[in-house]
Amino acid sequence: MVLSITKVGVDGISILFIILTTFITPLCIISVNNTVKTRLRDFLIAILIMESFMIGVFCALDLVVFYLFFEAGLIPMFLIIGIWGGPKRVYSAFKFFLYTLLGSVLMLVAIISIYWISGTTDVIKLYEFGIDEKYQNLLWLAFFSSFAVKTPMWPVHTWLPDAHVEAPTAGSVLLAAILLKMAGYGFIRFSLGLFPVASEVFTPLIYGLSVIAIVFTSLIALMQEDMKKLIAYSSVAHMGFVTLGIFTIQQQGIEGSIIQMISHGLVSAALFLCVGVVYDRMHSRLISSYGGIVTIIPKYSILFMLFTLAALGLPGTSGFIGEFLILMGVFKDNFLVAVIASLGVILGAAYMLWLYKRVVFGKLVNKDLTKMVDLNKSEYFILSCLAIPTLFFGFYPDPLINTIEVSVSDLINMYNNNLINK
Amino acid sequence: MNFPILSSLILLPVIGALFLFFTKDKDGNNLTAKNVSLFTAAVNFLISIYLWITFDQSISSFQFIEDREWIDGFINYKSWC
Repeated sequence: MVLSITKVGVDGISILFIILTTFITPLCIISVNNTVKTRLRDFLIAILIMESFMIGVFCALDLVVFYLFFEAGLIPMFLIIGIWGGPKRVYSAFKFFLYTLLGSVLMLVAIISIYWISGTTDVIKLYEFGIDEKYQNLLWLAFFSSFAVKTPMWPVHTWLPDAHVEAPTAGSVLLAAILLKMAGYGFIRFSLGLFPVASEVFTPLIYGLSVIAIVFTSLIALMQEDMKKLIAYSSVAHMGFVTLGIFTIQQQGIEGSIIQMISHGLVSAALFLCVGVVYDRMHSRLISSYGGIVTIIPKYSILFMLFTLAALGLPGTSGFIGEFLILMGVFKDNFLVAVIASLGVILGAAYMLWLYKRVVFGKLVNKDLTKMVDLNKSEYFILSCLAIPTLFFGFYPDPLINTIEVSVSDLINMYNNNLINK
Repeated sequence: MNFPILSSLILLPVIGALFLFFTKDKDGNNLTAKNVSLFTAAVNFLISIYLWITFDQSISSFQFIEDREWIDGFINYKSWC
């Protein structure tokens, strides 16, 4: 055949990620107005190719096709960081590329061995027949090495702050909103779906790493002086919640993880755009160079506040629904882990509110700030587009939950049946 | 559903990128490039919304499945079960 897309299909879980991708990409394209000055056409080509690969990842139903899209997505992102990034862009681009590639190579080995063990790489057939128990632990670890780097989980998260700091705004948005979700999706689809026995064995490992990620990176985020770095570390903490929720194997936990990923996709994208807005005007990402801008740019301050509150999980925003469902799932499974993870919610509130206070409120020290102009039409449009679903799904998450409910409960049933049969 | 909706979702951005490839690369405010890419991404968004609307939420199995032979007999190994 001419087309090389072998097997694609969607279920309730993947469809939401596809919509998130197609929703964020046009907003990224609108946002390049101010950020990209040179070789705009090539930048847009990279973004469109990236979109195609990301959609491919979420609807691939064949392990080889999944791997191809998963890896191919590195190339446009590498170019986006490496060509249009900040001063240390080459270092960051290579770090990003090598970290992710090193993890993924093991996944390729695992996919090849699955082909030799089971005779197929078709996900539906593998779901049906399962994979021999004695191979599962090693295969799980190989997939884990790839997804853990991409998520990113502690201690392999160090590429993320570097990549975010150097990437142009649109690149940061794509990276935070969609690239990180590929790993969370992979955990649900492959780690739980294909290796239930091994997932049961390694759940304590995931719990441990996630809890460390939540508490440790929240503390690091508190100490950051660079706004983009702070939000990057907060992403690591939020993804810690996601991995925690996935491996509870509870209906609430997994649903919460998926909603948290969608919500984080909207909110972190918006926060990076908010940083981009002030960076375009002042050319500084340091928190200390701002302060007291609330009377100068009020519209921006209101929208920034909305997303700050959504990032810390205020009820009424989509962030709350995700975190609440995850914590409910974890409480059912392990009390201690849930208590420590709840601590992370408080730390999250601390670093986000402190960031907001230092940037927006306080005394106006830097006199250059008075020259700042408020949001222009396109920035206002982008941030409003992200604010509407954040609030809508915060008050009315039913459209999301209805879409994923049947697929998640079916996944959990399949998981439990496999455990009993083994 | 005969229309390959998922393939079109994947391929449409690539087609848009190909169109862009043949436009002239100017420095500064390149309106053509922006409009072409924005149009592509917006159409893709509308297709994905259509996908969500026609998606049947009451069944758990995979939907809109498209199956193609790629490398014959290797990637889609049909004679297995």
